[in-house]
Amino acid sequence: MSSSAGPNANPIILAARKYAWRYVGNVAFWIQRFTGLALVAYLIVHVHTIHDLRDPETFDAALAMFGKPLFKLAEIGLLATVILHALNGIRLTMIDLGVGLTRQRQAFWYFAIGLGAVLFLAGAIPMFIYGILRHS
Amino acid sequence: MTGRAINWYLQRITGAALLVLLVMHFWVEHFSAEARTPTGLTFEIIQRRFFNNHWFVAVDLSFLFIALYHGLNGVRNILLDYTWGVRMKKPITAMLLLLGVFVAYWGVTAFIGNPHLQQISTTITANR
Amino acid sequence: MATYQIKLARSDTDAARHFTLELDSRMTVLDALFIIQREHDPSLSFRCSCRVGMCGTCAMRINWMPRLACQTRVETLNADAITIEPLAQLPVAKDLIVDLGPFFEKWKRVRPALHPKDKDSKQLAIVPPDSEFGRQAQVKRDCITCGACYSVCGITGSNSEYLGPAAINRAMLRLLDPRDGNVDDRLAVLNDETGVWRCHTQFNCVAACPKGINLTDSIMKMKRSLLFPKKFHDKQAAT
Ligand code: SF4
Ligand code: FES
Repeated sequence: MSSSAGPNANPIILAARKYAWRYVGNVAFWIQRFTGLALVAYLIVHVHTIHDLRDPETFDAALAMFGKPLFKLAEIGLLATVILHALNGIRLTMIDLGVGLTRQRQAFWYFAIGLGAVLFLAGAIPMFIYGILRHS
Repeated sequence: MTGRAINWYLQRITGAALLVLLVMHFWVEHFSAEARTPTGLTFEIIQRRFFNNHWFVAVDLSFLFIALYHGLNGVRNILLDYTWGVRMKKPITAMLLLLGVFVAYWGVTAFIGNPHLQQISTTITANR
Repeated sequence: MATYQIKLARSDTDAARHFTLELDSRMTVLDALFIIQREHDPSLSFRCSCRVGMCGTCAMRINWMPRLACQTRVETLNADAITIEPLAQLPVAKDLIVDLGPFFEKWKRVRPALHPKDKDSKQLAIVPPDSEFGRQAQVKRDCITCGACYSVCGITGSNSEYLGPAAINRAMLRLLDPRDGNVDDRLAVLNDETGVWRCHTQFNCVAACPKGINLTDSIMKMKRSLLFPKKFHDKQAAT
């Protein structure tokens, strides 16, 4: 028998092991919480911009500003936020309905993250090409 | 059924509704032919679209109300997860309600009673 | 035999925390604690009673995850360094012992004991194994009140009033039990702002429960039942 019991308990590896699979529901919870808060903040700012429809000049100035590459990049970030919140939201709703409770970790990785990445790329690539590369 | 159960249930229902509305909203604002012009969206395009099709207003306003409910109810849920949040439940609910009404007012008045949208509509009616 | 570096949480800051032990790989963490107590530091405090995983007193954090010390063989940790701490989110009494007071205060709130519909009934209750109660009770009555689920839940951490998974699971079993008659009190506790509605399906409790109880499933069942609580009232009405 070997005199050493196994790999050293590196705190980083232990934490990764813990949160990447065993406690991944907790990670999903925090993602849902922070993306949700970000979306509420965005919603309020967004409605504020739309309110400027009452004043066409301000509105067009605002739109011109949002057309800048920096804001287009932020918009791609918004897409990622929405996709994460939506797909994880579907996962949570299934859990609420009592579907797939024993497979919630797979649902997080394959559905929310995996499918989410595919959807994100499908949306982000055209947004990047039309919004940033073709800009000006 | 109690208020809390209905609240929980509505959060799911509005979430599902937002999924549909959001896809529509994203499509209209980012991928439709009008939005893919070199200048992108302008006041003009939006105005033309809204005048020609009141469904846009209907969809966008229902999107606004549902998103506000879903979002602010979510914030309320987060605050209630704290011991002090449950103790201050009434003021928290009142504040969020106020904020919701305020933002909804912003959104609604952008379309309804907007003098600039009004102006065009009368001109076009006159031209017919 | 293999060498293990053991690091303990101690409430006395001067007490020894690092120990190097030669352990047989089949030994449990509880065995290691006894060796430390007998051979190195008799002042070390920890709690255990049954040593077979049925009393729930030996739950502690072993390498950052709550486990039953008596049921965790050192070999299965797959590491030669073992960190042992008391359960989180509960007041520490001494060293590895936590005060489960808050946990049991909530446990009591759901009225965990049977409140029989008919106190004088001499009849044995028949629970068909494929009835809802039969199916749910199979695994979910195995709770040994170790407090592991309570100690990892994010909501018990932020909201000191939240019932916690184990109490809700217990309330569900009592509500489904055809012999039990106290529906309204239990539903009222569950439907409180600090009841089931605080659960946001983090699944930490499920990952932590040494008995493999799917607590989130119980909590979600209760949420759905509170939307349509009729079946419990029907149960209460039936004699
Ligand atoms: S439900 Fe599981 S983790 Fe929670 S107290 Fe019971 S046995 Fe322990
Ligand atoms: S000593 Fe009883 S469960 Fe470990």
